[in-house]
Amino acid sequence: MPEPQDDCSIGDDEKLLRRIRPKDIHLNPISNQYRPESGCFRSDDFISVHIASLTSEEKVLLDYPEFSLVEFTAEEMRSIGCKIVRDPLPEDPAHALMYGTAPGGYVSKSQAKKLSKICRWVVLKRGL
Amino acid sequence: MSIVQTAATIDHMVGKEQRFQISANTSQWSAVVVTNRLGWWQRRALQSLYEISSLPENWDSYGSRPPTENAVECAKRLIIQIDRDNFLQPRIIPISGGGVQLAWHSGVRELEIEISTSGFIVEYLKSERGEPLDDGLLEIEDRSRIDTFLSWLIA
Repeated sequence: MPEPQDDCSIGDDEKLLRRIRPKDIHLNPISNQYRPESGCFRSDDFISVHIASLTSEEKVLLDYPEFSLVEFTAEEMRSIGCKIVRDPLPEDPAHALMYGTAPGGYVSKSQAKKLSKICRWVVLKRGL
Repeated sequence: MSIVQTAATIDHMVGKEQRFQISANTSQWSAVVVTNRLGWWQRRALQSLYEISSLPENWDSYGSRPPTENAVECAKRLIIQIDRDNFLQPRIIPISGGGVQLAWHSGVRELEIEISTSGFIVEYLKSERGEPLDDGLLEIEDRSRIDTFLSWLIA
């Protein structure tokens, strides 16, 4: 499979959103802050995200009201070696796929760990 | 019978042996682990493992299937073979696509061991203060190396 090309039309300041399952949030004992598990950014496929300027928090969480939502910028994602490609779906024109440097173009464990650290909560649902 | 499809954890007493049974059909012992020789943390980890094995389709909201039977079985072997009675409770996390991750936290250090969907590829990640230090592949049967990682975690 050819290596995916980073979509430069997605600007560095563009925010990218990803839903987080309630049970995949833990309290970091050092920072005393809730963080998503790094596993939230790992898959045997590419990682789905939503381009924030093309959607809204409400739309992303519409069918999953119990989920939390994190954001990071395209610049932050690129700074750790990831790439992004638009992948609009009929039900979600803002859908995009994130690639990493692991074999197959997947997000590596180190990249997932960094994403879990740099991302910010847009919506944090507690009461886990 | 599929562990993933039928995951209902039953803490079953057989004589003096405490066992975990994973089966919706109690007439069949599809997977049995004698737990009376396991530490408390291991029993709790197995319970968490069985819980995530019964996740529904699309549990992550991005269309993932539940953890595969191979990944769950590999994670179970990993948990059972660790020869430490009193150890830190790992977080058991499903990975999109069918994998499983175990994550231990101790002070500023964290150890993650991730099992692929196939159950054949195991990756580790050591980090400090959330920053990756070292990662790579791991043989699940390499007890010595796993023990070294666990010792590093709590050092």
